[in-house]
Amino acid sequence: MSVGYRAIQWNRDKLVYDGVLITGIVLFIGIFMAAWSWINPPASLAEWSILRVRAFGICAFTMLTLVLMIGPLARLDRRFLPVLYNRRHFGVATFVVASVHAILVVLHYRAQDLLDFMASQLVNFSAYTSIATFPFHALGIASLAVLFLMASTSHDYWLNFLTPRTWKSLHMALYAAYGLLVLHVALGIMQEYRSPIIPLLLGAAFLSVTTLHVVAGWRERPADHGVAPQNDGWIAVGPPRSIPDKRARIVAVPGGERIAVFRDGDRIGALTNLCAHQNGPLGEGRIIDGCITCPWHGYQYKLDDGCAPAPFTERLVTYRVRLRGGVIEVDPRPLAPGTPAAISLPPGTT
Amino acid sequence: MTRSHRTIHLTLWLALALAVAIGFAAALYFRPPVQAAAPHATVVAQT
Repeated sequence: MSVGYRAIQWNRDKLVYDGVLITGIVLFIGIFMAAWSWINPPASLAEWSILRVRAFGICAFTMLTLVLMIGPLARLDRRFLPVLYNRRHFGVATFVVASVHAILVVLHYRAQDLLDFMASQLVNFSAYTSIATFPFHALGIASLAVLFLMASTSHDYWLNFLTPRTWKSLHMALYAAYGLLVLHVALGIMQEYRSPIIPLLLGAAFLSVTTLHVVAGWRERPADHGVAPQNDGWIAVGPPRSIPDKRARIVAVPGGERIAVFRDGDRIGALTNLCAHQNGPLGEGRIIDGCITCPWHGYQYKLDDGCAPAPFTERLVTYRVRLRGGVIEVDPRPLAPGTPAAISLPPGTT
Repeated sequence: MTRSHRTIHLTLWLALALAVAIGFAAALYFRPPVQAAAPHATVVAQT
């Protein structure tokens, strides 16, 4: 959360996150190279070169697999939310490792005097018609290009410039990059080695990521069915005390966006469920230090008017609420961002 | 995420899963025997 743009604002959590990340990358590559060279000692400089290429390639693939698992895991289990907090650093680190892999491939081919051959394969369009001769490097290059686009637009400057809606849409291209990467491996090293371990690991990784995304997405569907509004257009939320203190009940009209109805003691307020930062699920957050706090990156808003506390300037759409017949109701027609709309419950309300 | 993003997200993953599964199965099924692999394919596949 910031009133300006800085390259990176370090705090203890980010330093720990990045420390663990870098240690993990170094350990993965080191252990992979040590284990492989122990099982199958490289006999030449060229074989060492290939081993380095594979170590970075497998590390990048593993990292992208993990990056793509974080989102749905955090949706399915709140314990994964801390990993989501700094996911962009994980994504950028994945691009760096993938770039090193690509540079090592070029250096390897150059050392073997095969660079021209590799380039000619990429533009030999008849080779694309056969599995055996498919230039799988093209898939890796396409995937790396998408990773570059994602990494270079990962800063909040681009998020604000493009708007969260466009930025989110753009970053869905990462899924396509992962698909290309799976096929890059399937049409590359899987064609040379007959061991079942490569297809098994590759298939298991892709199946795990896909299953998590589909299950998390499917589980969201009932919440989008919504509640039919009453004759006057308002929708019932429930008795005031049925909303957990300092938390929210999420409601929606059929076909509409979700509304988060929060209770902070005797105060009730309704805001959009979309955080202004990355459209995170605000209604799954809680009230901390008197402010509604997004579970994704900690952006905060006041319950009364949906405004971020000074000096921050974000404002959210609010909704009118009322207590009628012992039931909290919300008007799903949005008010202008930052409009005060919260109410106080009469003493003794249950 | 907005409602439309959730819908696109789910549709995209189902489509991607289908496309990659077909590509993966084809890559597995049409793997050339090692001794019959084209020389250039072997060289390229080394990395």
